[in-house]
Amino acid sequence: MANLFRAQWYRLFCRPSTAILLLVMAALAGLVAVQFTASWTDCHTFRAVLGRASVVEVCGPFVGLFLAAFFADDFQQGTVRSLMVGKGSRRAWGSAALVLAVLVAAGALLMEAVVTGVVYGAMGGAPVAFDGRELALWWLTATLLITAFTMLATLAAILVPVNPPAAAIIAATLLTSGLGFWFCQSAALSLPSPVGAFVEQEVLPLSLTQIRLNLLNGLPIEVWWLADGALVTAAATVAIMVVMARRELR
Amino acid sequence: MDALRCTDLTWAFRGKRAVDAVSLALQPGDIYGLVGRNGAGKSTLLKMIAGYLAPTAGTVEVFGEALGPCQTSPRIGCLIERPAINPALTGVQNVTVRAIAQGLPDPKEAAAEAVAAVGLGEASRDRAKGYSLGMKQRLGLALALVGRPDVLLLDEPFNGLDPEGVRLVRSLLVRLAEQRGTAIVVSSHVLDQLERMVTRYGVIRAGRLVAEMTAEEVEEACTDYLCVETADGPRALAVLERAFAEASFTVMPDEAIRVTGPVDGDAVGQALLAAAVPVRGLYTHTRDIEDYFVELMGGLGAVRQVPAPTEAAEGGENRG
Repeated sequence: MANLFRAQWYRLFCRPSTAILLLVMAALAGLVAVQFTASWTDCHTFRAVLGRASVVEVCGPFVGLFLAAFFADDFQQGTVRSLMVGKGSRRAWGSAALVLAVLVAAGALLMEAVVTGVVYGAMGGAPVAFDGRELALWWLTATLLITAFTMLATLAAILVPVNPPAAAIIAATLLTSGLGFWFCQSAALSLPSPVGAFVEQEVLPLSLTQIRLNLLNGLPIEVWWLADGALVTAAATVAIMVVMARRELR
Repeated sequence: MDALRCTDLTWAFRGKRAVDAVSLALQPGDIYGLVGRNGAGKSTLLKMIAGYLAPTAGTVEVFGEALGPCQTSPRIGCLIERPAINPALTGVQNVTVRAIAQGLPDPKEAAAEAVAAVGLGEASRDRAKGYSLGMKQRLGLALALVGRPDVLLLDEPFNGLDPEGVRLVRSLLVRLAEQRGTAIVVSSHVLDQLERMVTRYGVIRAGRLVAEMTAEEVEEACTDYLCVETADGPRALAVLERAFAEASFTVMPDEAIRVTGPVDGDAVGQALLAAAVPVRGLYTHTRDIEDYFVELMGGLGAVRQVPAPTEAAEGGENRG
């Protein structure tokens, strides 16, 4: 698995688009902070600043779409074959994708947070409190959310027999933008009342998009958010491994 | 020990057997030419051996190690259907990715060695999206070669290569087989290239391996012979055996005599004329490897048949 992860890491950072993505994300974070620092006077904590800067909202779609398309590209170009080098390679592909997604999501969030913080300070933003534990939990939760979205979109890409990148981009867009959530919400409203109410009040609040909205709104981070994100990530990764075990490599 | 052994390898799809109980074995150093029509099942067979496709039935062993369904092996290098290339990376980066995945101690060195072996040269530093078909093919070969695999599975390796590239790849494969003992399966329609390097052939027809033969057997089957058509076969045979002791003769069911060996058509004609043996036809039959395999692959309609005596010198038959 380590070799496969190293190979994917090398491939990711040899692509010019990776550097472009990171630059665009950093520039976007900087621009948002430059534009709005003066109006963020009611932020008392750095986490609130990150929420106002929509760091998770920017990182989620950018990283989710980019990584899902990156993994799907393996199937589009047939390069997944080059990564298959022995017993266990097919399963290792899934675990390598998970590790890569976690690291890239965590790295991108950290970069966005640093750029936001630096620009916020440089622009003379109001003093805010740094709660290390809260920030670590925020970082962990956001990383898990983006990883889960990425792995779900990657699963969609390897499930479809044709045009995996398109499937990955559609799935990642639905997941990271919240469109899928709102579609489910609308569908729940059209269900008969006890079922619709159950879905709306009991099921949808557990969804990752709802957790993302909670994070954005600055709600105190709860342990079950982490558990939820980890569970979805693990389920998607296991599903990828199961599909990969028998999938034809074209 | 066999370098590669497939036993009853089968792949069925919607009740149809695309590959039907194919068994083959390769020794180290064998170059095995797999020939068959389009859609005969050659690529599907190679994909199952490579671990890209789960067989419906059958087993694959590489140097005695049984591979599970869909299990790839670090000892197998492949170029099947199309080169698996990432266009955003340079040629050498593409190969380095595979070298890293293989866990080679110096992946960059191994990648550089592989791209040099296929003659990609300076172009290996360019992004693969700008590569021509031939360059992509060379890169695909480099991907198959990196890590020095013991078994190579190559599907149409000469696709898109210029004559120099064809020669380079052919001599590279022969060198690998002779010097490193690499067992190579080459599926190709370019029979004249196969003829120059293959040690054994397998003919696949409608998913079944219908014939296997050595290069010597194919060469023998494709030997030119002189055909004597006569109404008096026994007398003609007696005359010819007396006159040409070094030649060998085969009497066909229609009493035509096939003469092989150091004989000249004119001399045969004169000997028969002198003995007053009636001759209906006398010509040299040429069967090249293409004719031979087209026949074996089931394309009899396309084979240049021995013409009737009046249809002289048509499609490779040279009347003597």
